[in-house]
Formats: sequence, structure tokens, C-alpha cells
Amino acid sequence: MRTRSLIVAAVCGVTILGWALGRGSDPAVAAHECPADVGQADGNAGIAAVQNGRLVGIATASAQPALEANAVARQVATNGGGAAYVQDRRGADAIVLSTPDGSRILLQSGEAYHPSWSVHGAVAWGVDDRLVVRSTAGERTIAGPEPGGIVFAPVFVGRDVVAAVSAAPTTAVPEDEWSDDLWLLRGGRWHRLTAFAAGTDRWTAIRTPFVAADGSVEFVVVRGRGSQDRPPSFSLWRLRGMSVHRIMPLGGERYLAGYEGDGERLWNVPDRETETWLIQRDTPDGLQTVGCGAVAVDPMDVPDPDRIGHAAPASAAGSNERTAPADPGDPMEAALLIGDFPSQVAADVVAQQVTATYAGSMPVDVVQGGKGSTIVQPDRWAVVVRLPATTDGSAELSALQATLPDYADHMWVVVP
Amino acid sequence: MRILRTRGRSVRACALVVAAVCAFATAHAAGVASASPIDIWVHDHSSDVIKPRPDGLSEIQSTFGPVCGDNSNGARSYWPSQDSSGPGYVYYDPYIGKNVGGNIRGHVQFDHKDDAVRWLVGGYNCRYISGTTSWSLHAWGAAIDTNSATNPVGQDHWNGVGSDGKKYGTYLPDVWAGPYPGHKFFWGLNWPNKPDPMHFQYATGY
Repeated sequence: MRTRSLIVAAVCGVTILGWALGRGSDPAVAAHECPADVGQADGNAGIAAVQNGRLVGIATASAQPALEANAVARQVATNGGGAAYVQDRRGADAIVLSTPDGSRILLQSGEAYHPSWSVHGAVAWGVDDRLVVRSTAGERTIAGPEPGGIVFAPVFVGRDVVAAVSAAPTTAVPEDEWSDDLWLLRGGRWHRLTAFAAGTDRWTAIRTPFVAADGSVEFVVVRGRGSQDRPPSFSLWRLRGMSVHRIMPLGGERYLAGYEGDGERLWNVPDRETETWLIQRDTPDGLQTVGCGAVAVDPMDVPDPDRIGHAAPASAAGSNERTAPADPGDPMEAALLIGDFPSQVAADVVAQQVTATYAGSMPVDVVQGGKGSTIVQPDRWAVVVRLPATTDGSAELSALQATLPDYADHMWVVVP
Repeated sequence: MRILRTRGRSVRACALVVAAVCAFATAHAAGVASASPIDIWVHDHSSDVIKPRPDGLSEIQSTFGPVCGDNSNGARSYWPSQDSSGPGYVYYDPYIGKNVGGNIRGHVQFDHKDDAVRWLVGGYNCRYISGTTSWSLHAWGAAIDTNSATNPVGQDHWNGVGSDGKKYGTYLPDVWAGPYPGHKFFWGLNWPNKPDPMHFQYATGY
């Protein structure tokens, strides 16, 4: 009986999606092909996603999203009889709901995030720092717990809503993500569920919460340091009741995309070479690619409409009050800098090592920072290896780091 | 910066001294009275320094490599009023190293406009764009924020008040992104629906 209902629901979903999304103009997007060996497996996955600007999955491959010019479909959620997704536009976005009753475009007042369905057909989504819940009883907008932050990725847990909330920018982190936590909306009040570590440099992000078959909420936690030039760590976490714990580390960048009928997790894994989101499922032998498309993640193959700008001049006339410097006509030279050292003696020791490394073939200086220095701060010392003007220094930097690994984290390209 | 000791060739140092003497002599021979410091610096607007600017994610990745990748913060320069406590380093990808560390930092310093810079100034930063799975261009070391405390995201104009409280107009945006001197950065204020006046990036279409 349950199987028959699911089939009926899926067929309804196909019909509705095909009708609702089969209109509108083609978005101007580059073609990024799903690997050929995947075939139609994304249909078997039973979820919808955005690929090449179109909805795919649930046999909607031929359907076209009804998009406004310059709009991008993203963050698709389906239930048995309908679909919801963000129509990301220049400026304020829209939420598109497709149900057996028809398709509706709901204009929003700001940036919209991650619509999500309840088992009873209600839908929730984030708009800037607010949560919107729409049901048969009407539509409510609830202020989020962090004014100036972002409410995103809500999911229904019974009658409650669990949402990720991104903290507002600070003077130390004036833009981009730095601190996410999960919050529970119960009885009209927000209750904080997590308190992940975050600060000026260390950051924590929460991504792609989904409700598992057992009613728990699984989500990906990403942790990194803004200053470090290495990828952040990814791990899978679970919320059960009010308790949160880590399930397992993830080998690299991936995000939850839902579950198959047997309860196996589906993942969105980026294939950066082709700018394609792969849909992969857990198997005993590892991850298996079953389709392509962005489910709760953001498409890579189309830019955010809010970030398509006109390359206008920085200013009108009247700002050139300064004197133009004379151009000596010489090509600019870069250098490798190893530092900073608290004393000249310490810098001298390293300078000897560096000189030996190059066998005297490169000019090596010990320099002291002073007023006006643009490469080393006052009262600190550094070793500088001058490079030919023909290089930007990146290859030489990597080579010297490999030769002197103890100083690898203390080397930079500078313009002396 | 004071050079304490030189190992290897000193040809460049000699050349600089000769150039300085020649410049001084030339200025006086021409009757130009100048008490300003001898501003010998190389600004280079050739394509070796102001390199092709990537457009779209594909070109960004092929130009700057993987996000948060090794040496995405491999170049640096020292900036006044970098944070609220004073000067500090700004890090970025070596692909834009000469342009930022040589041309732009040099322009500001030798225009004697260090006080136009006001905290926070930041470059490389391995982070997401908030609420998304899209990485910030700072995570490639391909974007610089300047004067961020007075030019927050969403503000639809540039606040040119410097760290000394004086008005510098659009001097800094001109240096980063203007038609003159033209260092080819894209200015976030030109995103019409979500202006980001503090933000200058060496890419478009992202």
C-alpha cells in the first residue's frame, strides 16, 4: 500500500513538475555534462536537483524551470506531491511552490534560502534573518534569533522547526561565514541547540540538514581557519531530540542530498573540474555516483545573479588629486621573504641556509623593517631572496618551501 | 626597510644609487625645487604584472588553483591601519602579488596617502559566502577588503574618510579599480543589488 502511494505520489510529482517547470525561457548557462556512465540513475534516486540551470531527477529531465531572465534555480526540496525551490534573482528572490493545486511564485523581500517541506505539506524557508512558515493556516514570518544574521536550511521536526543560523558580520569578520549554529523554533520561541567554536580566525559552518528516516536530523559541519591555506574539515553530525553528536568525519568536501528509499544517504560531491555536483550514495564499497545536480547546495555552473555587476569606473572625475608617480619603465621584480625574526642574529642564521640552498647564485639580503617598509614590520628582520623580473615568484616559493620545510609557513612573495 | 647585509650581487643596489643621484641632478638642472623624498619605485602596468583577470568559476579555478589551496596566501604586503590596533600584513595569491604588493601598495605609499587606509584591510580568508556552499573569492586569495568598518556590505556608497579623519573621496577605489591608474580589480560596489563597497576582487562573474 505504501509502495503504491509512493508511486502515485511520484507520478503526480513528475506531472506537476513537468507542467510547472516546463515553461519559461532557457537560462543562458554553460553546458556541464554529467558523466556518461551515470545514465538515468538520478531518476532512480528519487530526488530533484538543479543541473545546467534545469531541474533534473524524478524523470523531469525534459522539464525547464520557469525562470525570469538572469534568475537561477537553486536549493530544491521535494515531497511526494510537490516541489519547492529558490528562484535566485537580482535583488530580492522568489520561492517557487509546485503542488497538485498548481504552481505559485512567492516574491520575497530579500535573499531566500532552502525551502523545506513538512510531512503535512507546510513549507518553511529563510529570508535574510527571518524564517517564513507557510501552511494551510496561512503564512507567518518569524524573526530569527540573530538580528543581522542569516536563517537558512530549516527542516521540520514534528511540529517544530530546526534551522541553521549564521551570525551577523562583525568588525573582525566583516563579510562571509564565521559562526553557524542550529536553533529550534518551538512554540514561537527560539532555543539554541549547538554552540560550535568560532572566532576571528576559527570558523564553523553548518550545511544541508536533512531529516532521516528515524526522525533525527543529520547535517554536515565544516570547520576551518580563515588564515590557513589548507581545506577545512568536514564531518557528519546528528541531532536527536535536543542532543547533538558527531557521527563520522568525511574524507573531503561533500554535503547531504537526502536519502534513498532504503535509507541510504545521498551526497552532493563537487566535481570542480566540470563544475558539476555529483549525486553519490553510500554503498559498502564506498561512494557510488548515481546522478548529477545540486540539491541543497548552490550550483557551480552559474553565477549568483547578485554578483553579476557592471564594470563601471570607480569614480567620476575629481578624485585624481594626487600626483602620478613617474614610471621608470623597469619591469617589477618580486622576491621571496622568510620572516619575521625578532633579531638580526636569527635572520643571519637563516640567511646562511638560504644562501647555501642557492649555492650563491641568488642575491640574499637580510633586511630590517622600518618606517615606510611595505614588506616587513618595524623592528623585525627578514631574509629576502631577490628574483628575476620574469617571474611572479609562485614557483620559486613552492620550490624553496620544499627545500626548507621548517620555514615553509614563514615564506611569502613580496615586492621589495 | 634597511638592508643590513647583502650576499650575492649588489648590482641592483648600485643601480638604485646611481638612479637616485641622476634623478636628483636632473631635477636641479631643470630648476625643479622639490623637498619630497626621492620616490624611486617601480610601478609596472604591463601584462606581466596586471595579468588577465579571470571571469567565472572555471577561469578562477584554473587561475588561482583549488580553494583554500597551498600558497593561496603566499604573497603579502604591510599596510597601515590594517586592523583596529594599527598596521599589519595583508595576504593574497602570488598571481596578484606584484599588482597588489608593488603597484597598489606603492601607489598609496608614494602618493603619501597611507592615511586614506582605514581598518579593516584583509585579503586571503578561507571561508564560505554566508549561508551557501559557494566559496568566497577571499578563499582563493583573489580579493581584498579595505576600509571595511566604514564600508560594510549593503552600503550603497563609498565612505572615503581615512584613519586620520580626513576625507579622501574615492582615492582608494580609484587605485584598486578605477580607470586611472587602473589596476583592474572589480569593485563590489558595482554589484547593483547587493553592493559591497569594501570589496575588491581580481575576478568577475562570481
